[in-house]
Amino acid sequence: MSMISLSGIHKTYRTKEVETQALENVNLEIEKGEFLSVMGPSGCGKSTLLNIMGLIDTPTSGKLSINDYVIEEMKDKELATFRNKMLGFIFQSFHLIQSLNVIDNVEMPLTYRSLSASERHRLAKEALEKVGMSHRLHHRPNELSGGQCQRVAIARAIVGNPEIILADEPTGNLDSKMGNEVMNILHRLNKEEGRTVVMVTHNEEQAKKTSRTVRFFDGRQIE
Amino acid sequence: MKNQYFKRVCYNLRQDPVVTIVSILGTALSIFLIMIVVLMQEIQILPFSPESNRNRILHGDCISYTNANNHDDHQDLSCGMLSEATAKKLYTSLKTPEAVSIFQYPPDQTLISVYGVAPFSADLKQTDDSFWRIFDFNFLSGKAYNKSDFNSAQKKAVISEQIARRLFGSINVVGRKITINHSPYHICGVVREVSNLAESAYSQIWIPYSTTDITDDTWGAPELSGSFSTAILAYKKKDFPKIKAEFNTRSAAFNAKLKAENLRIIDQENPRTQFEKSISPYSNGKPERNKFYRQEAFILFILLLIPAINLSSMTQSRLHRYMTEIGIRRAFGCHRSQILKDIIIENLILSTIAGFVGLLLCLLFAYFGSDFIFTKNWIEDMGRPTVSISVLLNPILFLLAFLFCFVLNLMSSIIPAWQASHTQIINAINGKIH
Repeated sequence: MSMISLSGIHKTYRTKEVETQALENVNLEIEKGEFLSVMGPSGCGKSTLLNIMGLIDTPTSGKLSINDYVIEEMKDKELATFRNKMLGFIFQSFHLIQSLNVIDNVEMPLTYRSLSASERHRLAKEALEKVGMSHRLHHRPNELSGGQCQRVAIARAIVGNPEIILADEPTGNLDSKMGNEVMNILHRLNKEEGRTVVMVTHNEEQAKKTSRTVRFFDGRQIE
Repeated sequence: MKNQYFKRVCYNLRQDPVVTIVSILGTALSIFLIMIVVLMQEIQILPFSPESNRNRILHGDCISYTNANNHDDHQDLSCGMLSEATAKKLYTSLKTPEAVSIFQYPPDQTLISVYGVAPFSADLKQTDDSFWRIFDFNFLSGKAYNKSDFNSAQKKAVISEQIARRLFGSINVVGRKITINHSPYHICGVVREVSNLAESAYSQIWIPYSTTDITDDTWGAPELSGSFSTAILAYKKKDFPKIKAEFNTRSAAFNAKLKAENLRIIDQENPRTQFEKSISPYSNGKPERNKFYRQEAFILFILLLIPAINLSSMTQSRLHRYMTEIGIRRAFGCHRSQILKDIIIENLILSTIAGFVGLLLCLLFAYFGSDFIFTKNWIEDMGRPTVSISVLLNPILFLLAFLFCFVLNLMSSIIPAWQASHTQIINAINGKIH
């Protein structure tokens, strides 16, 4: 059974003058527990695909289902709950909330669930321990290195125990040592906890270590 | 979660102090203006000494009458303060109230003197003895004249602290003699200064009206009008309808007798509550509540709308920097209504801070600039419209200020918040509002 199923997905960006085809007839099945790399040159539609899978962008046409839920039939509140419970995002530029400290950033997805403050705090601490950041609970994002920020972002992505982790060039802003540390964490989450991981990357070495790689060019899946 | 609102407000303040402070000051000035308008009205209604019983007092100020044969109430209309006889017939015989007082209104300026001090003018009010039961003056020494003093026309006077000090350099002057309008009186009490905002109770000197010939000062056909007003103290506010009904019965009987004079009293919804008196003081018409509400609503709406438009664009500009965070929150499960709520609450925190600043400015201005905002034409040469701190710290004013902050906040944040919450998540993450 597929965890994520994309069928005939098109995405077109329209401005007054130009129409840009970002994705063209993408058909893709991602199995539960798979670690999938998405590769391709800049502007080929990799991130757009990831955003559509993450329900933060909508396809122009086509069908997307996740864990057998047909997404287009869901309303805003259902989509929000679905994202909260099923999906965890990791962004290239971390996107931590600057006004919050580390523990509050990690707790953030849990604030949209009916959990007590102490329960949220416990879960957030556990997630930070998994990524080796439990010693920086009260630091603000601007007091952390890039690698530390990305580890906090991973903790935020996994704190709600989602089945799917979507990572958009998670090592793109990190040096190789930090990048390897982040990749090790993602592999551990995939292998030890059975989470499905979809990662957009430019790095062939990192892609080779994943269970499958799909390649895109000009919005089309070529491999 | 609640903590996060405050954290973000503090963060915004640190990140963009100029926009945040300008926004707070803009809101504060708007609340200041609105609260000045509100205070000018509320000061006429809020209870404060010696009119602490305002919510239990009804006022019978004027009498309006016309020819008995006129079907149009406004034709040949005459209106004036009450004569003693009219006040007694219409009001003092009422059974339901706790007390009814007849007193001169407004006060007169009268020459006063004591031996060794140059004569000067002071405000004089002539009253009955019930006056002291209805209004809670703060006696610094002595006491008021009583029923027996009034009935036997004892020449006793209560004077204010300021007059006592000016005449004698002390407030311990009970028993001393004072000449009021060339007539000698004994001082029986000294009271704390009264603000002329307490219009019914205000004066600087009070004497029994039985000691003068003011009751002869009447006009209009059969001595209907004179120099008096009445204050009716109910046991409780709930008695007002009963008192009004009793008054109507008296009024009908009075009208029946007036028919012989070819006159009839026009029903002007007397006696009036403090609020009704405040919106139509001494007018020869009924209190126009709806007109008042419409006018107030229009003024307040304009005072809210103009800053709301300006603040709305500031909120929009603040949200532009905050869009990525909105996108991230939505990506992690926050739904649109929560975003809408978050923005409105954060804005409300800022508005509330600004509201307190605005209210503080308003209270300071009202306290130190009371001459400027509260003086009315007819009282501008009488006393000062002083406002005590206890009146200004009335919880009603705080509640109203918060209410206006809330409305201003909604008006200024709802459109930007709606736009932000309905932006496509990926656009929001990329910092766009579309």
